[in-house]
Amino acid sequence: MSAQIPPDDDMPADPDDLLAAEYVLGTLPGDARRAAAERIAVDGAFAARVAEWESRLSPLNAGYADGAVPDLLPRIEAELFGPAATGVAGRGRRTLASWRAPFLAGLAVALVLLAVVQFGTAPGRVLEAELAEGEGALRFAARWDEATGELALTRVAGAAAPDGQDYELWQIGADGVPRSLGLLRGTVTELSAALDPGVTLAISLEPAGGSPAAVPTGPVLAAAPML
Amino acid sequence: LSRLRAPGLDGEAAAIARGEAQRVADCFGELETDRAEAVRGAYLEGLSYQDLADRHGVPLNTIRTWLRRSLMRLKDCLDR
Repeated sequence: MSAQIPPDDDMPADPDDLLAAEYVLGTLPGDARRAAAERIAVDGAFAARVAEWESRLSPLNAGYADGAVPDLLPRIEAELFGPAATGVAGRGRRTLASWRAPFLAGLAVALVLLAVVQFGTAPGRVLEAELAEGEGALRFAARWDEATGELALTRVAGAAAPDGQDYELWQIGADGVPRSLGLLRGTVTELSAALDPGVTLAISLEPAGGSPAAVPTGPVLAAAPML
Repeated sequence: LSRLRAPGLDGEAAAIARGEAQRVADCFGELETDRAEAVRGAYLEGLSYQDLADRHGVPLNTIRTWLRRSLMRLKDCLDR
């Protein structure tokens, strides 16, 4: 990177970099967000900054599901049995306990169900798509297994990339920013990836070794949302 | 040779992903707890400045400053 990092925490940082960071964080208000999205499409340097912030923050997603759920049960139990045990002491407190206990029991059931749903369905998801573009000859079948994180791309029609060029695979999330997943060489390529439902996969034709920038530089030859 | 390199991404990318997650966690650990929570709230829960200001009981401008400084500190830490 060429940008100088200000030495002092209190110094105003490079405004473009801050804008890219806030775009990725999702805190820009509507107008500013739209303006930033449009800029990504035309300003490669800004797009690269956005991509850098994506890769800085995206590892957070991996830890989220693991961290949020586990310590709910002890808290629910404490809420449930704490008031019930002390509730006989006086009328006021018993009244409180009498509506609170069933309410909290219901809440507990709902939260446990939510936890079960989150844990139960998340590991097993499989997303698939067939990537193509109009009547283009190139078609790839994509299959992603969330349990293993394995993303398999199989070229089912069309030829390998011409000499001196490579097919590069991209994922485009809700923020509209393409992120490279790797090169597709040979008929079958297996990659390790973290995908969100509804993410779009796209394949572009790039110079050998992949795009020199953080975004596609060649034509997009095939694309489809992963469902 | 070129065919050998692409499958190599598999294990490598997974190892890199694990290392990255640890690094991000370490860098978040260097932030004050409430500021780290605010950044997580914005990124993972999609909370707005106003949501975060309400949650943390501080003015909107303070939240904005928290997030901006935290982002730059995270960048310094992650790019080290």
